Amino acid sequence: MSNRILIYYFVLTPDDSQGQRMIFRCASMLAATALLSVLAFGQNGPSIPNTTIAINSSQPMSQRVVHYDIDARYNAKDHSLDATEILTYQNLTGQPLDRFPFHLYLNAFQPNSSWVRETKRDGTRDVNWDKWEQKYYGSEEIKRFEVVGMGDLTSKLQYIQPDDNNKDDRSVIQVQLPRAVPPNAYVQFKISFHDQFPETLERTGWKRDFLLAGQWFPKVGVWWQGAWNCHQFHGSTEFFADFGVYDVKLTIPQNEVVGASGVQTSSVNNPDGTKTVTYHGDDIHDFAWTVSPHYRVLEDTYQGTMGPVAMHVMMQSLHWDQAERHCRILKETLTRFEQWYGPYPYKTITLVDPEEGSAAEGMEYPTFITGGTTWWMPKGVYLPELVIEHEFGHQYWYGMVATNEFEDAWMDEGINSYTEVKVMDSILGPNTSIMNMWGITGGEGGYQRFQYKGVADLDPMVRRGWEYATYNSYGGITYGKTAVVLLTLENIIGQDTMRRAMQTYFMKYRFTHPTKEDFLKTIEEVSGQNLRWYFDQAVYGTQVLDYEVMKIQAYPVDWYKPKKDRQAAEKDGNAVYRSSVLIHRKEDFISPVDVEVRFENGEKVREHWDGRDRWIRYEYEKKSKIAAVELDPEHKIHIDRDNFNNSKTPGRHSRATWKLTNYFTFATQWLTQLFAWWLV
Amino acid sequence: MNENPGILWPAFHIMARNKRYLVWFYILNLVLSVLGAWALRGALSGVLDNSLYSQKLAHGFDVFVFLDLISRPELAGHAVARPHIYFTWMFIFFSVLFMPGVLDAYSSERRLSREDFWATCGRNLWRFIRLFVINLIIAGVVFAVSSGINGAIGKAADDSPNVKLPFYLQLIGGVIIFLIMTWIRAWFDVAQAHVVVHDESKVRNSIRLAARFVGRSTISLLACYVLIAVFAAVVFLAGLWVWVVLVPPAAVVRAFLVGQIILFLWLAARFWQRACAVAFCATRMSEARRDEIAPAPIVSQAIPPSPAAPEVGPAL
Repeated sequence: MSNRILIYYFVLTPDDSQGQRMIFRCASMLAATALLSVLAFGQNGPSIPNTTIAINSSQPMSQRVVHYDIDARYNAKDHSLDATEILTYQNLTGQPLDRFPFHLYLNAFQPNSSWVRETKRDGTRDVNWDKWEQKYYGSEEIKRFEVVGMGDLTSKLQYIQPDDNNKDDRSVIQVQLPRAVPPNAYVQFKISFHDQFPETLERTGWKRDFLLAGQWFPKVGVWWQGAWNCHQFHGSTEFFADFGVYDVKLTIPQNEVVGASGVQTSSVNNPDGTKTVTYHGDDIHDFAWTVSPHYRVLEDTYQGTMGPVAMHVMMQSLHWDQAERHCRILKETLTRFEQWYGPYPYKTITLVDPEEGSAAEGMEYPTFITGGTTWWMPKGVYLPELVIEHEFGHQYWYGMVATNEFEDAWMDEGINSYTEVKVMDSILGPNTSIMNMWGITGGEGGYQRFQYKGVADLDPMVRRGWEYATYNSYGGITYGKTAVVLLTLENIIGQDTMRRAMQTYFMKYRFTHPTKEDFLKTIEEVSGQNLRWYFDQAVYGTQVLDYEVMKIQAYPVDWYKPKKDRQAAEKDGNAVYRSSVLIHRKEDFISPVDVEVRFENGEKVREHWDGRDRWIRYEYEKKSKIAAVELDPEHKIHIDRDNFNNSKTPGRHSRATWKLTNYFTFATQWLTQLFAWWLV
Repeated sequence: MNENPGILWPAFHIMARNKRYLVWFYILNLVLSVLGAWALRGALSGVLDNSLYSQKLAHGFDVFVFLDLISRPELAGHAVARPHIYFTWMFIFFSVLFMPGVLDAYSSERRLSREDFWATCGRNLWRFIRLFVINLIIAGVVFAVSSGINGAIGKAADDSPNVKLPFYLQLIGGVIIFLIMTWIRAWFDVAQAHVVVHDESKVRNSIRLAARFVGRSTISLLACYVLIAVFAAVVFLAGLWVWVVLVPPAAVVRAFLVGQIILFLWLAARFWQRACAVAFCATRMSEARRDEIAPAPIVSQAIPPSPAAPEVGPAL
């Protein structure tokens, strides 16, 4: 029991009237206060444990709101699960609560759910809905719902659709309690439920004899900004939950190799051929687990700044030769995150290599991430590294900072994509951090920018996840745009300042649920700059940045003189040229930009334009012609949609054109021969 | 293979002796492809030639700069691909048009005069168009069905606990499809050779006879074809390796030369296969026909030598 004052809310009367409820509340508050002394002496009652079994800290690190105690039995034959869940919730909202919404995420995998409707409309990476197949059916059915002290409220449960009013969507359920839970009091829910997992969709479900169980238990919403925040499961949204403690018992067949969030505390073989494995998690807001008989586990330890971190790398046996590769990138990522942003406090990190061909690749849960590879993955293609780095990065932004992924997806996925660029470039090189094979290279910065540029003007970053124009727009803006916006910001305020700002943000807001303004203000505070001009356009707006070198021109100042006189002056090096450069802001994003004008004699002139007007002209009279003009010569502005028009040379340099034409000619010649081979 | 030890190398000599046709076809292929790429070259030039950003493609190959480039509206796929499609069909048409002359030359010991070449081409044009269409139908149907079956097998194996199984099944299926398609290719090559060598106006007769004789010599003829195809594949992969490893990224001319050598040898492989078909037609089909009619010598004149009948060398 913690030293904190704990109030156990006893249910005294099943009274519904307003006045009586007030009296009851006062009475119950008094009763609760009277009980303090009793509790101080160790009286048992519902509470949130203050354990630190799973963290390298002697004190809890988060304000723990929930304690989930789940006992689940997995049926591997039909990929289903029966479980009981005891959820203890402490009302820290500062006001009485009589209504509790719960996520039932697995119900999203039903033909008329909002998730299926939206993914059928906009597409998803997992499945194309040409036809509905029963294997995609998933469900989360509550068999019994009891509130301790209030009795069985199963009949009071009601599906709600707070986002789209789709009455067929059953991904959120709500219970109205007969009496409110006063501030600071605890309430305990006892829930029996049955899960049917789909063949993997949205990184949860089965494939062959593999299972990844994510979003598998009834999870209470978050009281956030004065209201319940419990959105339906949408085609392009993720999750949001309160911090707490998890104790999960999993009963599974004995041949299964299991991995989960948190630390394993026991494993007992049962006479019926099953085993019961118990996990405990502290200061986490979700719990996922996986089983497969084909896992091989590489164990390693990372010496973190707060203590040792046990690394469990669970590889498909087919991919065992890549285990070291997985482990290495995980360690290198951990090192950089600890150096740059803050300590990793958990005692474990489990990296799961999911079943090949499953849609379970690339997902994050607290202390538990999935990678993604294939048995034929070339060494020069760093996709497994990219996925692992990205998912580990979520441990910080989703896992510990824990922003609202439904409403501010960019604050998790986007900030994480930015740190992905920084970390991957640091490990594998700026231009080769995704691919370096056969002379073909690709870097993270280019990848993020490419994601963004196709959807640059469709949506702002600050849009709720399910309200983006398209699935591509969600991805391009949330991941790509945020990354390039922050990369550009880094060049505005300086790399060191940006790193300090990110570290400050992480350390200040970890284990809270910060808002977008918390993040933006932190950057302004640390940098000491008013950056609203940038945030208003880049974060809150849909403005597109595209500057071009529109025209360059040079002619001799004595152009009107006889040709032989001009040639003589040219020969003597006395010819003077009047050159002009026209810079154009093509789109509506206004940003200052540097312009470098290079002359044939090697001289360089650097100009700085505030970009406020639509265009600017620079004119020079020099004894040399312009050799090239380049906007943003240090390549600070990653957000520019078109890099090809950022520079101009007066003469043609056709090497790239001929090179690509040669590639195309070779390819078409070969294809033509191939067709003729079989046809004529 | 052992049944016809004499076909592969004599066929190579036939091809080498008539290398001018190979060279002309190669030039035709190159010119048409260059023409097909001209629209792309113009579009690329407009974007790249005056931009410093193009250096990322000139002195290396940054995949995201390349994607950035090809996602531009002026480089939209259909606009740059359409000319290539037209010129591909032109190459196929010219192949149909000129191939009778090439086969006639292959079946002849002497150098074919220009008039004879064009006469053979003209005489056989319609026959070769019919052969082309029939081949297209048969090969198309067989390919579609076999690919469908292969795909279905792969999909059915998708849930197997052995993750590699679908890949290996698809690979084996692919090899089987390749062998079937190669057999069909050999069949129609022999039919084409038969049409030219015997001046057969009824292409159905040539197709029927070719099917019968190719069927009897399936292993040997298929072995020749497969060996040549393997040679082509090895040359292709080795050439790509040379290109990637030994040619610097900015060396456009060297890259062009390496690429063209690969393509010339690839085309040579196909002409080698055709020479095999001519040699097979000239020897096996004629010998078999003679064997069939041997008891009645008078009938041996039932197959009058055509004006372009091959006088097969001693090795054949």
